[in-house]
Amino acid sequence: MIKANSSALKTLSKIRVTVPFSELSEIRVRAGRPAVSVDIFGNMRICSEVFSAEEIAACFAEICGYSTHSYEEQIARGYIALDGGHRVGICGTAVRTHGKIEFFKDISGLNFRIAHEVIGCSDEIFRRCFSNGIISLLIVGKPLSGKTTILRDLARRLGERRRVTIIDSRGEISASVRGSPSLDVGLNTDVLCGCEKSEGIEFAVRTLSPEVIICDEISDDGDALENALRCGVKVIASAHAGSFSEVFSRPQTSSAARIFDGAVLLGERGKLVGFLENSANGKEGLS
Amino acid sequence: MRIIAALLALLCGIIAGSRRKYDLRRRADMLREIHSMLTEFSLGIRLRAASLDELLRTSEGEFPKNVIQRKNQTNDLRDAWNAACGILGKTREAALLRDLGREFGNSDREGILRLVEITDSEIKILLTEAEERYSRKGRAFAQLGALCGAAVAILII
Repeated sequence: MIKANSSALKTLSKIRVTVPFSELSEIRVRAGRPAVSVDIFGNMRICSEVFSAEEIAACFAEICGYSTHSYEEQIARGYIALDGGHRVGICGTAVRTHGKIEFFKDISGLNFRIAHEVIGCSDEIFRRCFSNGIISLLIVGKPLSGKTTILRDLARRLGERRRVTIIDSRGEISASVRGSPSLDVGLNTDVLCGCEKSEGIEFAVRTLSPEVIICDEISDDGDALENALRCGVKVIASAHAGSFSEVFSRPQTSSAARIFDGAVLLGERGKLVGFLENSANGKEGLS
Repeated sequence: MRIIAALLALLCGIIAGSRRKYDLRRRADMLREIHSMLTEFSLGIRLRAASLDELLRTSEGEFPKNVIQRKNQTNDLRDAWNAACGILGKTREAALLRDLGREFGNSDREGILRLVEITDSEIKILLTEAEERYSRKGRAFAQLGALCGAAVAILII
């Protein structure tokens, strides 16, 4: 059951999901259309009657605990965090102030992304990449390939013995709710929530003395990542792409991606389908 | 028998008068509580971006306690808020709070702050009126009740 602020969402009561919760990946609710559930295999199923725009607005208000003012920062980033680490993506009309998105109005759709904790899902990556010590690793995969789940499991494993800091700008890795991780991210793992990756990395290196920094979805954070590596910190991050060549051809990720010692490519459901190692043993990065 | 009936009439008059006085005082107290709750709301939103649930839990007074109590039963904050407004009767403050409750969840921080402030300023006006009414009419109601009771008692005797 999806909950917001510890109580089940009343406005979603007309949704009837037939997929087992462990296989549920998303529930998409849109105004004027029925809700659709998406399982981890990508199958879509209609799971409700048509939702009206008023019902979507009521659901949005309920998700925010009738306190949109408390979620402004998250809303401006296009999502709201729920208990249990689930996320709700927001579709609507962006309200801009000084060129920056401040809020969303006329909410027309909500995408409930279900967080799953899969203990041990990173075992193969761990064995392949960290058997001779920790390297800086880039995890590449398409949306819904399980990058965040893998990162969380890596954090849990590494955090048992090493000092790990997660830069969790969207709170998805640690599934943080009101600042505390709600999923297991490791004994020695610190979580920095809500800050941008580049500033979070800088802050972590200066004040938290991590051995490993973990962050999700790198884009143009190359300078901060390189700075962390120069300080002797290893970085494990993820990037959206369907192949290694896509990562290196995308202007947003190409410079940041080159500094890693190795990269893995994920297929469906976090399956390891490719491994790229730096021939110069981590000195020059990937190419 | 007549003396007992007269005493009862006198007692009823005193109770009725005191009850009216108590109602006036209670309304003024309730408005004072709502005013201080809204002041706390305003600070909580401005300084901590506190959610409605947090605001209610940290506020003193009968109204926020009532909302929280009802929320624990219904699991829906908006329903609980509306139900708690119901106990204020068909008063202006109930209508103001109902309107405010409807806007929680629909406005951004600046919007909700402005609304809280507007509601608070109207509550302040109502509070001033209620306090004046209590100081002017409170004692009069008690005395009038006792006088009426005494008059009926005399008539009975």
